Amino acid sequence: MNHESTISRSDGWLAAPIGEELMMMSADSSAYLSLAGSGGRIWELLEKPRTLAGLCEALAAEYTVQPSEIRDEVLVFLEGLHLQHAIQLHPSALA
Amino acid sequence: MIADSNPALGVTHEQHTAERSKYLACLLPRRTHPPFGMDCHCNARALGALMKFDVSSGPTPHYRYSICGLVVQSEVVLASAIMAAVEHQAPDIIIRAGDVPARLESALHATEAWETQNGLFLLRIPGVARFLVRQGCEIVFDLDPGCESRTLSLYLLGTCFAILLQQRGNLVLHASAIAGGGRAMLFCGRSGAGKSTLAAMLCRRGYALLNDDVCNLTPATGDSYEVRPDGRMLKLWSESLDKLEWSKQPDMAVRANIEKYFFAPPVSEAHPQPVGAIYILREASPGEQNSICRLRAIAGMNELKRNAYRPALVAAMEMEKAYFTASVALQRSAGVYLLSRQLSFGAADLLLDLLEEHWNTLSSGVSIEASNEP
Repeated sequence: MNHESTISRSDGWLAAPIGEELMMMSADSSAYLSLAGSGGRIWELLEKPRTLAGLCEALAAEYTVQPSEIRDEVLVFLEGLHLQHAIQLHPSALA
Repeated sequence: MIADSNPALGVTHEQHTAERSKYLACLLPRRTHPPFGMDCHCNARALGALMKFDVSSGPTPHYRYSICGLVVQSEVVLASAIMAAVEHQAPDIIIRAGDVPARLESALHATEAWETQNGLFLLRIPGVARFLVRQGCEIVFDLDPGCESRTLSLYLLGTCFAILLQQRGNLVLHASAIAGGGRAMLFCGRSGAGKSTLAAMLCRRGYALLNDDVCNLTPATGDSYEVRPDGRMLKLWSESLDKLEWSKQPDMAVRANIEKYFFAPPVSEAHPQPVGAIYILREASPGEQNSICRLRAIAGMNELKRNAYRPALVAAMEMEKAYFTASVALQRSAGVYLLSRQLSFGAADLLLDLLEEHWNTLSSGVSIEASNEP
């Protein structure tokens, strides 16, 4: 995954909030997932496909930090979602 | 068990006897050789009854019940269901004997025990019957030779009715429920976890029984769900009845060779109740205090999934999305709690006090945790 990779949600996942947490169910219904805090916000922001850079900028603006400060954490989180097949990565043509 | 005739419901003893004979006749082994051979031992009760009463030809008997807010018309007595005075209402559900195919033509899901296909559910229980549950409004059974009436009844009211309720869009949890302070309090757990016994103890304290074992949840307004009374008796182990000091009647045995009995609750709730709380039963370790704590949302989701009446049915009927949505809504509108408790009957009062205390906090919205003081 690089800065210009596009990230999109995988099809068929369900998501609904309970309090501060976002509950999710995989498309094949085999697993439930819970995203807390900014994790839930990242899922919401991915309603439209975004580049990693675009996602970090949008998130940083909301939390009033620099995109560079959160990039590593966002990457780890996205890798987790990718492992669960909840998102798809589309490498940029320039990569 | 065969229900006693009830003059209040307009069924005379004679009518009932004739209907009962016909019913028993249909339960007899359908074989070409004489049915009194050694291999018919498991139907001794039905045979005994048949020899006492002549089989008369008459109209097919109908027994009416009110189960989960539905008027059920059955050709056979449903043991444990309490007869209801709903004779003049059109039935929502028909339960009848009939031919059931061995297979469905183009099944979507198929296992050894069942097949499903657009609103049809075929269930095969060897030694009992084949059942076809259709479009949430009919259960047809095709009996295997030698099936006992009580066993048939257990499957009709258990798995078949759960399938039917799911076909109607309900959630079905493996839970017993009572009405407390205008809300349904549900107790979930695997078989033997003590659901019915806890419900029975609360009934003895004056609470009304809503459901035993099979608990339906129907969407109400917003995120809330309601539990509709299932109009049936408690199923209790002999040991529990003894400790509750409730007497067991031999003809109320759930089935042959099992020390479980039906017991009519002292008070039954007649009206739907909104879900107040869902408790997951757990046995406390030795020395551990009874306690109630709210489960984290994801744990609550997993417990609700695990405590579906038959988790495999949820998948077979492709209802995972409905269960997910309902589980989220139930946690928003009610809450899922882990109830850890000592199982001894001697300490039962402490446990019931704790539950009542918890219900008070629920209505005041103050606390979500409680435990018995050391």
